[in-house]
Amino acid sequence: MAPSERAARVAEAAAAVAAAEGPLLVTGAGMRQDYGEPVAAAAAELSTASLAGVRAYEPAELYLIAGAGTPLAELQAVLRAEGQELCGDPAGRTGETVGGVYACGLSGPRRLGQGLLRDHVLGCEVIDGRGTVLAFGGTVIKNVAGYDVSRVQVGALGTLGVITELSLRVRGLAESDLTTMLDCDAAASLQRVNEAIARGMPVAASSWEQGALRLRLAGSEAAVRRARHEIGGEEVPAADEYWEPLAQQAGGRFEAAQQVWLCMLPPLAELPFDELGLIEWAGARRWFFDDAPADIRRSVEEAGGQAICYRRPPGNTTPVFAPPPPVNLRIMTRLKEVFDPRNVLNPGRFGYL
Amino acid sequence: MDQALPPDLLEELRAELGADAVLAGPEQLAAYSCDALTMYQQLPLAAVLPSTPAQLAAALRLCHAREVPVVTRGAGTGLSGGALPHSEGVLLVTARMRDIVRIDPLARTATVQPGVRNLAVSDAAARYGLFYGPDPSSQQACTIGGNVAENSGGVRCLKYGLTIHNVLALRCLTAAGEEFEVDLRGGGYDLLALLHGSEGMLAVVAEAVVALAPLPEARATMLCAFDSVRAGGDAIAAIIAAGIVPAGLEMMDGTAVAAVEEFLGLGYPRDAALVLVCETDGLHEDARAQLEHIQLVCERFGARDMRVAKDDAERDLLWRGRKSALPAVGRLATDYYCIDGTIPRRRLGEVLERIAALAEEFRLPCANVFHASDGNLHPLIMFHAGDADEAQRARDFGSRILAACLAAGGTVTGEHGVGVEKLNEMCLQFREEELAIFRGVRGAFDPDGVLNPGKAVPTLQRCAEFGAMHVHEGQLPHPELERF
Repeated sequence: MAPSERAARVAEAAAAVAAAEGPLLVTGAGMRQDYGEPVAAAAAELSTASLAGVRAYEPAELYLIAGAGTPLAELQAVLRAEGQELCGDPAGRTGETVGGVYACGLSGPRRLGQGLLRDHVLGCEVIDGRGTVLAFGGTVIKNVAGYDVSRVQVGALGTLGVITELSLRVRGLAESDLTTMLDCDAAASLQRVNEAIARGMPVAASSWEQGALRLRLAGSEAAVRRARHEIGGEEVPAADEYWEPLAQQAGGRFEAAQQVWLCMLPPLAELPFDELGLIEWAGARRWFFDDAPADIRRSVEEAGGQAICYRRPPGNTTPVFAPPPPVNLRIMTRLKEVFDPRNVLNPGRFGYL
Repeated sequence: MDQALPPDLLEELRAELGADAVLAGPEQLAAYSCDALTMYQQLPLAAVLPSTPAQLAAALRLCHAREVPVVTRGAGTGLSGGALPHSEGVLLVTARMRDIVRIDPLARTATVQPGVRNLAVSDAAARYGLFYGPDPSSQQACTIGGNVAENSGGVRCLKYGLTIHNVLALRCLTAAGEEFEVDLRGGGYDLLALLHGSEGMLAVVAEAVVALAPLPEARATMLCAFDSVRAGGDAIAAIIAAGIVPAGLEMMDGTAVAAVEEFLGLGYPRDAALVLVCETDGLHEDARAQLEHIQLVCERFGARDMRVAKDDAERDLLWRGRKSALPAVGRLATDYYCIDGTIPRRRLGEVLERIAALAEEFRLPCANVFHASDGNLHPLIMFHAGDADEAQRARDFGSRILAACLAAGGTVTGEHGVGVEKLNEMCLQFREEELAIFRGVRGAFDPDGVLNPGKAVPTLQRCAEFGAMHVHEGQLPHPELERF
């Protein structure tokens, strides 16, 4: 896309926000509308899908700037051709846009070794709720000029601005990558994976479900070989067939379940019903499905965590997000007013905001 | 003194915190008149030194009730005047809050009070085979609370991350002294991210949970020289492009090398245009193999005098020059002014040429050190602070360097923060619409504007005045800049 055409499309979207007289449903590909509370049915859709394309990519500088509407898969293909990938293992299904994926802020299993999505956002261009086009951050990793507004857009579900462009850090692909599987119960899996990481083993991802701990090892050939030897277990053939659907929160129980709980926990916290779940990120993220106990949210909170009702059956009115404590909520409510004083961008997405 | 604290505030602070924790009067306050950017000085009306989170909250509550400005200070090692006291305010010093509350070796976390020194975290974690990644050059003295406020970086951050990548949770206090916690559990907006680099203007850290990393099993260290800035810059770009993630990749220009050799005589190649110090770490296999890869790349770009450390003693020697660059430069002039821009690595050559031209224009020598792995450039302008004309030239020279960094696609502050120092340059980097958002963000946390007022975000009026001045000089604005 020519720069002038890009600017024209951004200006058009900004004008649409400025002119909005009621709620706007901000979407990328529109594939994650089931995440979060529904936006008012009367909302007019504002899609960023037309803001597609890689505007800048500097492999040696380790960054890329892409329009929000660029399909994540397309970005990944561009990067793979240079032996690189996005950092933080963004979780997106085929067809999802990069803007949508970062607005949702969900990572795949390799977040364990690479950090959060927001860790690797270098800058962004957004349209605020007044229809003003704003730019924050840049393309360099060390940058402390101004408050870190770019990272706050990640996971804000499009309520603090319409993301039109993102500047993202990229990294080199691992030279070697293999998965080893060990049999153990949930509690033992938490110990084993955290011990391996504390010993400096190149653990890129972990998953435990139904009695099997899978450790994905990635790095140099020598390091992966040594870790494989020290950790033991059975090597998993064609491990991508396991990790790829998991990275998209697809397949298996994700498809079959009516209700899915996403739980963030201190990694070594133990839940009485861990055996029912899928445990990632060395224990820091756990998924539970239809057989989760009814009071799961309270159990997770008592263990120092937070449970998100990632999917709920039709008619079920469990809040997707538990409201934050009063001081946090007050600050968040004011932030929303700063970015979107007329409350037109995805109003109601969080439920409590 | 023209201003005075509201009646009774000192007494109430003394009652809550103890008499020894409340300082007032010029003699007692003299040590707190500036942070490490000494060209700005200001005495506060009082300084308070709480020892506990409850005292910290009480101090905030008392000041807030009377709308007295509060400037939070850790160790005072900041380089942008972020902890410069307010003439009508209280300086809140967290240096006595230095308990390491808990270390969890298996979860690899440390829970610390805000006044805990950066290096003290690593020292305490070492017995578990762990360390804290971010390593700002002031790590002997600087505090974790200050690191959060500035989102401090350091040498290792390409591999180990900035402060924001290593803090898992904060217990904070609002300006009014109300407690709130922020973490990574995903409850709404990412306030944890927003607090990093917020320069003490949004909240005060009462406790932090930081991530610890396993101590590397091995380290490999190398020094080499280049005869041209361009060759060195190209080698740096090629190392990063090859997918290597060094634990440290540090550059010094010829002026800095000469200063170090004058000071320490370590045997650095004096006639080099650039000297590169590089370290890799991790498992034995990786540390060695990655350094060998880096050596090959450097040779391809004409590196000479390559020296690989045979043992820890030699490793320390190779690093000592780079780590002594600032004091070494400090010996060549009564004062030096450390600038903090970030640039895309590939623009290093042209930015250094621009700095050399500016050095002639302002008639002040300048040495350059560079965190090459992340593009963070620290030009060191040498001057005499006692000479008002030189001091002004140093400030103007610094401002023009930052404008050059911005024009090269970088930023006006990589890791030192805006503070009072770079308020004008913020007007270059951001438009009024974005600055208005920053003011709004501040208001969302601190509606009364009590915390560190006047720092980091310039007023509309200030930018108008600065803009007029620069347009007059024909320097700015830069409509051709690719703004981001």
